[in-house]
Amino acid sequence: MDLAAYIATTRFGLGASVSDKIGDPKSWLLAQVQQSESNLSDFAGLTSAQANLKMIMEAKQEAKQSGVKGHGTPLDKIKKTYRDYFVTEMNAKFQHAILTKTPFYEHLVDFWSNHFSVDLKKDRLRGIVGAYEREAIRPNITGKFVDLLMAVEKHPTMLFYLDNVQSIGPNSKLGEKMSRGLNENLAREIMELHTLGVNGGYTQTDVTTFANVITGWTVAGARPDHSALVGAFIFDARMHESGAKTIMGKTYPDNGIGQGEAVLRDLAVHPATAKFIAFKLARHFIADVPPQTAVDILALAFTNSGGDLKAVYSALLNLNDSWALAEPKIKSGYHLIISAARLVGKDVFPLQWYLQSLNFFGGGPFSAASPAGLSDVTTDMIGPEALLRRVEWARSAGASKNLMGKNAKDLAELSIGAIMSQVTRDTISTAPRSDLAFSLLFGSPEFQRR
Amino acid sequence: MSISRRDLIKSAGALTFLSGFAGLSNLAFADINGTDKRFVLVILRGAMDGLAAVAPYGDPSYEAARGEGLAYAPNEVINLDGFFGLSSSLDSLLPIYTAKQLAVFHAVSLPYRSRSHFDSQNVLENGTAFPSGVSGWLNNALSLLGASRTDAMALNQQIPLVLQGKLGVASWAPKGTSFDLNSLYISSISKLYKQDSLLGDSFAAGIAAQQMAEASLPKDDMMASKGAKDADALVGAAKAAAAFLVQKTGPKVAVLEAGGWDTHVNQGKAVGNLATRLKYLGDSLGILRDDLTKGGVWDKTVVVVVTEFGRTVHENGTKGTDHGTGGVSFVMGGAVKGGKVFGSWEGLATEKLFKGRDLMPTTDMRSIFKTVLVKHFGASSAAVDASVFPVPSKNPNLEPTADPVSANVMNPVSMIDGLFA
Repeated sequence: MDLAAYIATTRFGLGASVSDKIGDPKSWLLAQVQQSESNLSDFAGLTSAQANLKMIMEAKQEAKQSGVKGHGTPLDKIKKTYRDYFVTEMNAKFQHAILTKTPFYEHLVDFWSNHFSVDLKKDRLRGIVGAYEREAIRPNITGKFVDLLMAVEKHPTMLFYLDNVQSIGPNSKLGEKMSRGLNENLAREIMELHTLGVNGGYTQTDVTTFANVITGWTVAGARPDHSALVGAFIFDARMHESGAKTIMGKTYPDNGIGQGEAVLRDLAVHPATAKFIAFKLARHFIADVPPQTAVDILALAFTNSGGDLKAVYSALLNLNDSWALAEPKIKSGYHLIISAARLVGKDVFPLQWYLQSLNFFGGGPFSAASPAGLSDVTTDMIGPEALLRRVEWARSAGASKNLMGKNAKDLAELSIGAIMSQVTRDTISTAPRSDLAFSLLFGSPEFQRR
Repeated sequence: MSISRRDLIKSAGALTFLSGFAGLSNLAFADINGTDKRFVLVILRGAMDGLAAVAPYGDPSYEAARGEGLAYAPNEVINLDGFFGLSSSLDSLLPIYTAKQLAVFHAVSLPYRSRSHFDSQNVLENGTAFPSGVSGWLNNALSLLGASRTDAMALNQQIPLVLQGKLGVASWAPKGTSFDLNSLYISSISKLYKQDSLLGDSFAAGIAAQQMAEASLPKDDMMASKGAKDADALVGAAKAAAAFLVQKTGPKVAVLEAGGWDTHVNQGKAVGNLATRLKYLGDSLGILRDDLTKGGVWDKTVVVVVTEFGRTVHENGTKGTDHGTGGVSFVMGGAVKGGKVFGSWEGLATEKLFKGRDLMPTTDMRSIFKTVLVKHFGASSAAVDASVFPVPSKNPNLEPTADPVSANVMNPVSMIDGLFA
């Protein structure tokens, strides 16, 4: 496989597959991101976040009223269901990633899911993170950034994860009644991590003000007086801190939910946001320290198109830097296991093996432990212990009985041929056993790269 | 250094295997600056509430400022000096304090004011006043002190920024018993990594750490860990760190990390989210003291516990606290002159708070680090100023503030008196 095809399948995609029909690598990638995905059959039968939330919220309500806790209660049963359901969602995601004919699109779903990171810090989230990625991220990554942002910040998962459901305007109707008040978490992270970036020019006052703007952005609860759809996003005016608010020098009149939407629309197209998104994409696909010219071009594409992500991807693929492979990048644990499966075929590894592997790497999907997501900087990914875990994973992957009859040498050429060292090539081709050859391939330094 | 001195390595196979790697030949005489001293850095990620860990119960504004949701009752606090008290969850620290081997620092902060976890942790780890660091102060210090690649270890899968830099370091966490160092697979794949300039050194360090672990740790401690994320994992990490540190040819420096401190919601008091984590923290530090004492190195050890910032003095709207400024650090060890609370205290009256919301910081965290490097490891103060905690040459672009710590950003980092003999 030549270098350009390697870059397309592995740096931008999720690893080469025998069934790839590439043709011109750049065109192949561009075609994948012109519209949202249409083939979602892998996700058929999965439950919406709203429906799952309704279940747990009603069970919590029941628990509160009955006072009965623990084993065997509806709430306990639902928590167990959620643990199993999380596995179902993840398995669907893995299967889709392994089989997809649009791996660049899939890679971008992972990128944006990490940018708008949510992790499993609460039981309830286990039942809805999969739906969050399917509902808020997946359909919106080829449209305008503002639409992606709005979908994320209105999604019940994000509102729970960053505590906005508990944030009450101090002078709002509920604020005056209850002993609870403002929580700044979501407002801060929207500015710091989702849009402007930490150097985006906002102050602590702006964070607090924005937090007040989005009071009321919550999830409809299981209350008898609530006519809204339980578990869905709702703007609850009783929690909202009223009044015009000024953020970064601009004043936003209070028109309920419109106030927050207006701030988000401005954040979505702010020059600092353009720079931050450009930088993150360049860092992810080009180099840990991306060339400033590349970042500038992407930022310009973002701004000139009003935040149209298709225009930004197109600018990215048209950069010479994107095809130079000047600096190494390392596959995430997720990318590593998916690339192995794409290479040898979906039927080699049992579905439960993917989640086990990721847990062995120090955490499965949605386990970033910080709203900043997992780092994609090389030095954060190649610690000695982390490397040895990949090597150990590779040993067990290579030992799969389902690899019998497959040719490790040929698959090595397909996947890493363009960058394989002579030592690696020789060691794989002279390995005394086929399982050893596959373990060496999956564990090789070249296979860790993308 | 000759191979025969590596008396802790079990099998001849492992010896031959090790000798293939460049740079590991001084495994036998790992020492730092000619001393036999040890250092453990514990990073608590997420901003631990210092006012909850060490409560200034003697401050006249304590109850009003913290409020009913956060102010401890008298029986929830372990008195230290008549003004400050330990959270009852940190009871494991009391004997260490009583033995004058634990120094508590209050109102500590970094010189950077963004209240962003991400950025502040970067500042904590990179040693400058700005979050653009790509290498760690500890890595720089170890190079300065003539340390070798096997001298430092992160008890985690990845190397934290504080240990990233020019000097290669190790990381280790138990990975399960199926990992077979002596297999054909490992010796074959080692050939692949040996010639890889990006990953080769890290791979070699991983193998060396695993060899040491297999020689030093009981079998039970080798079961695969899920990843040291939260405070409960500190206990296992402390045990493993101690086991490595007592080895003559083992690492001299260990870094432990734990998250889960970002208590925006339902922080709790004597019982609750934070209390549970404080208990694990206290117990882990107790394990370090016990095991390092048994191993005969406690008198040569310093342990420093830090977090990127403290939290708001007042409770927020969700029974928790938001990001603050002044926080707590611990310094303990057989080598430490403890048994007191260091740092000057502005108080919790509203007019004394930083921006009306946070504890006013009065000690720069870097002073603690520098004092350890100079007094414990004998580094030259001037060299530490130049290459470990350099100061900016022109006016930094920090948020304007009157607090003493960031006002001092243009000056060399000061030393702390009375922390060591």
